[in-house]
Amino acid sequence: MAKVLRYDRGIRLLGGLLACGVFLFLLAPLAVLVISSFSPTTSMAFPPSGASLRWYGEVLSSPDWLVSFQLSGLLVLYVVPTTVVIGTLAAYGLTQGDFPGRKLIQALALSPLMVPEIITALGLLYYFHGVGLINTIPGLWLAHSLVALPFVVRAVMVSAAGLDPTPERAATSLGASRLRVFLTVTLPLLRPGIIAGAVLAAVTSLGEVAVSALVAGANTTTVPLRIFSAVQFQLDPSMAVVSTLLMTASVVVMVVADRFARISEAL
Amino acid sequence: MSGAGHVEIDDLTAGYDGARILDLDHLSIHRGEFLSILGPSGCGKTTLLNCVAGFVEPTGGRIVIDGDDVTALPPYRRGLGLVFQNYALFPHMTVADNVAYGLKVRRLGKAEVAERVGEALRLVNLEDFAGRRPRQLSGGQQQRVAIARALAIRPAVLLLDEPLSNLDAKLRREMRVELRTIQRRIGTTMVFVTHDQEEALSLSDRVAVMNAGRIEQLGTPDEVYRRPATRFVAQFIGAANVLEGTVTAAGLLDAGGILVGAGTLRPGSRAVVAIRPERIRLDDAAAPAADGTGAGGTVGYRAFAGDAWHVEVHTASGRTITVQVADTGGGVADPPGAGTAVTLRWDPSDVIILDRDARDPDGDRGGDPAQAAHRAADRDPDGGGP
Amino acid sequence: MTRATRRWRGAGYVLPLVVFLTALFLVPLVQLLRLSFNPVDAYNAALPGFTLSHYGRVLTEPYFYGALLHTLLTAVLVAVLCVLLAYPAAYLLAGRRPGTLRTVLFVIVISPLLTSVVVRTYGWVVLLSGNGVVNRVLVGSGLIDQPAQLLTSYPAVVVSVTHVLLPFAIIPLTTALGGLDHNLHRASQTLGAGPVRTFLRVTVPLSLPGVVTGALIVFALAMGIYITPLLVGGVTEPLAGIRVYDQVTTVFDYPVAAALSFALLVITLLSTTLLGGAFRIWERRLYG
Repeated sequence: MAKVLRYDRGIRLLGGLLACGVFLFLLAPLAVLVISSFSPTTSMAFPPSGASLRWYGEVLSSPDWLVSFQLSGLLVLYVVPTTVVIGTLAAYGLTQGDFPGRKLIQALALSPLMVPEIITALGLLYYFHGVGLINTIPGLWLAHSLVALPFVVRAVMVSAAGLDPTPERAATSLGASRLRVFLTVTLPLLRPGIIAGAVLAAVTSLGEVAVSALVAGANTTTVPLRIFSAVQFQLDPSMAVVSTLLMTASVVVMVVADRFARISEAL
Repeated sequence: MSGAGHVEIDDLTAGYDGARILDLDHLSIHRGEFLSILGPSGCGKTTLLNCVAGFVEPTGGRIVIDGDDVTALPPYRRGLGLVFQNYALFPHMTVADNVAYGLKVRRLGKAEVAERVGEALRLVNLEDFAGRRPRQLSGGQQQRVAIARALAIRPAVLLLDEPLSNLDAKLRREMRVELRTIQRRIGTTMVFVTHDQEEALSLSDRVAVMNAGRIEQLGTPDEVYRRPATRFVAQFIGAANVLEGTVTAAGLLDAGGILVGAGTLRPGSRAVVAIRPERIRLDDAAAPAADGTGAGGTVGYRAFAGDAWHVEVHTASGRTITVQVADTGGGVADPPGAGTAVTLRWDPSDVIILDRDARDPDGDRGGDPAQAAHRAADRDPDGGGP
Repeated sequence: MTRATRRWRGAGYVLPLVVFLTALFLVPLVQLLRLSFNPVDAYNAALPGFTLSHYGRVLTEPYFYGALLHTLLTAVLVAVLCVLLAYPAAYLLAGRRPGTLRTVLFVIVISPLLTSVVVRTYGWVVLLSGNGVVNRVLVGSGLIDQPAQLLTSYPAVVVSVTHVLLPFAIIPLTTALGGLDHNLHRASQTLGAGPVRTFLRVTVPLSLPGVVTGALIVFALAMGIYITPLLVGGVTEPLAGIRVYDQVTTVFDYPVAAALSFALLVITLLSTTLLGGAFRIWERRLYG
C-alpha cells in the first residue's frame, strides 16, 4: 500500500490531540505515583524535592509489607491454575458444545462481571461467616477465583470461538482418543486465549480489593488491602513505592505475555 | 502528451522507495468508453484505481479528468463513482437512503433527490426494493444497489473494482450483460478492474493488460487476443504456447525441434512466437508435412471439458504443447488417448510473432530496453519458455 | 452418536464452572436475598421469619433511597463521560496497524485494569490532595487563591470513577471501530462526503453497538463501585455501595445492607436490560 492521501490532516490532528489527552488522563495518576515513590522526604508533595530510593529500602525491609507480598504472591499461585482450568474447560464447552441451557450458562459465567461488586462482596462476606472462611487464605483464594473467573472464560472463549474443527477431526481420524485430542490438539490451539486469561487472572488477584476488603482480616492483609487501609489514614511515599512495584509486576507480565499471545484481541 | 482524452494519466508512479507498485507511462481513457484494466493479482491494477479515486497518493505523475488536474484532490472532490468488490453498502440505511447519500451531500432539493433515486433504481431494476435494508438483499441485488448509488451522482467516470468476483458464475454472467446494457444506455465512462480475462474481453471497448505496474498492451479485445504485443499478454490471455528459438536458413523458426513458419524472419536471428491451443491440429504421426513445419510428439494427457478437449502433447525435445480440440458432438474429432504418437500442425497465419529479433533492441517494436528486459524476466517456469 | 447424546455435547466441560459458580455465587446471593427478608433483634442479628421492613427502610429513609438515586445519576454521568472520552482513544487505537506503537497505546489503555483499584485511586488522592499537583497548578496559575478541598468533593469522585472505568468503554469501542469495513468510509468519500460528514454519518452510527456495550458495562460497574469513591470521596459520600459498606462495617446491620444491595441490583439489572433491549429493537429496525 502506498501512502494514503493526507487530505484530512487537520481533523486527524484534532482527533489525535483529543486521544492524547485521554491517554494522558489514563496515565497521569499512575505516573504521579511512580515519580512520588522516589521522594526523599515523608511529604507526598508533587513534584518531589529530589530523588532517592529511601522508601524502597523502607518497604523492602518492613516485615508487614513482606508478609503481604508473600500472601499476594501465594494467592496468585492458587488463583491462576484454579481459574484457568475451570475457565478453559467452560469456554471450550460453551463455544464448541451444544446442549440445552448453553446460553443461560454463558450468561451465568459472565454475570459476576455485571453484578455490582459490593453485592458479590456482601454475599461472600455473609456466606463465609457461615462456613468459617472469613480471614482465611482459602477464603481469599475462592473469592479471588470468583472475581477472576469471568475474565478467563471470556479470554478463552475468544480463542475457542475461532477454533478450526478440522485439526481435531484429523487427530480423531488418526486414531487419537478424545482426551488425547483435547490435550494434544485443542489445548495448544487455545493457547493464546489461555495465556491471556492467566495474565488477567493473575492481575485481577494481585489487585483485588472490593471483595477482599470484606472477607479478609488482620491475618490476611494482601498488598492492595494494606494500601487501602494505609491510604485512609496516612499518605507517605511508601505506598507509592508499593504501588509502583505492583504496577511494574503487572506491566512486565502483560508485555511478556503479549509476545506469546495477542492479549489485545482477547479482551 | 495529453490529448483530448476524457481521463489522461501521465507518468504515474506509486509505491514505496525501491518497490514501485505502479509505473505508468501514459493512459488515455476516452469519453463514454468501457475500459477494462486486466491483470493478475499484484500487478498494480487496484493501486491504479485507488490513485484515480484518490485513496492512494501517487509518488509522481498526474491524473487529469476533463482538463482538470485532480492528482492532489481528495476523493470527495473528484466526482467519480466507485463500485467496490464487497459492495460497501451502508448497512444502517435503506436502499433508497444509500442511493440518496451522495445526492444529499450535494444539497439537492428533496424532490430532485427522490427523482434521481427513483431513476437510478429503475436503471438497475430495483425500484421495488427502495425501502429494504442491504442485509435483506441477495449479493446480486446488493451489487446493483452499489452501481445505482455510484451512478446517482452522475459521476464523470465510474470505477469498478472487481465488482463481479463475489458473485456466483451464473449471476456473474447475468450481471455482465446488465452492466454493459446500463453503460450503453447512459453512456458513462466506465473503468473496470478485473483479473478475469473472459470478463474483460466480453465487456470492454478496450482492454489494458497490466503486469508488474506497467501496461503491457492497450487495445480492443480482439486486438489483445489476436495480436498480443508481449509474451506476458499472449500467456495471460488465452494461455498461448510460447516458442522461442533460432531462425533456420530456410526462414523457419526452430524452437527445439519444433519448426514454425512465420512469414519473414531473418535467418540466424532469434525470435519468439506464440500459437493458441485452439489453433493447433492433431494429425496422424505418419502424415508428412507439406512445408516441413509442425512437430511430432506423444499425447501425455487429455481431458474432456464439455465444449472442447484439452490435450497436452510432449514433443521429442521435452516441451509440452497444449492443444484444444473443439468437441463435435459425434465424437469424430476426439483426440487420441495418452501415449499415442501424433503430429502437431498449424497454419502460418495463426502464428503470432511476439519478438522478431530477440537480440536486437532496435526491432520493429519494443524499443525500450527496460521493457525488453522486463519481458525476459516474466518468462514463467511452467507454461512459458522452452 | 445418537441424537440424544449429541444434544448434550460439551456439557461435561462446563460442569466445574457450574458447580463453582453455584457454590460461590448463586448460593451466597440466594442467602443474601433470604437475609434481606429476615427480621432482626435489638442487636441487628437476623432472626427466622419474614419481613419487608428492611426494604421499607430502604425505600422510605432518604439516607438510603437518596443514595440509590444519587448512585443512579452518578452512574449515568460516568457512563456518558466514559463514552465521550473513550471515543477519540478508541478511534486512534482502531486506526493503528499492529505494531509497537499500538501495543504501547493498548498497554496504556488497559494499565488501569492491570493496576489495583487502590493504586489508581491512590494516584488520584495524591493528585487531588491539598498540596497535590492539581491544586498547585490552580494556585500557581492564579485561578484560586488557596488550595481547594478537592479530595472529598463530588467532582473528584466522578473523575476518579471515570478514570477507573474508562478502559471498559475503550475496549468494546475499539473492537467496534476496528471491525468497520474501511470501504464504507471510501464509499462515503467517493460519493462526495468529506471526513467530518463521513465520520458523523457512517462511523458514528456504525460504532453505536460498541458505544452501547461500553456504556452498559461502565454503568453496571459504576452502580456497585465503592472502593474508589470511598478513598476519594470519604465514607460520607452518598453512594449506595458506600452505604452498604458502612452498614456492614460500622453498624453491623446485615439485613438492611442486603436489602439495599438488592435494591441496587434490581435497579442495575432493570436499567441495563431495558436499555440493552431498547437498543436491540432499534438496531433490528435499523438493519432489517
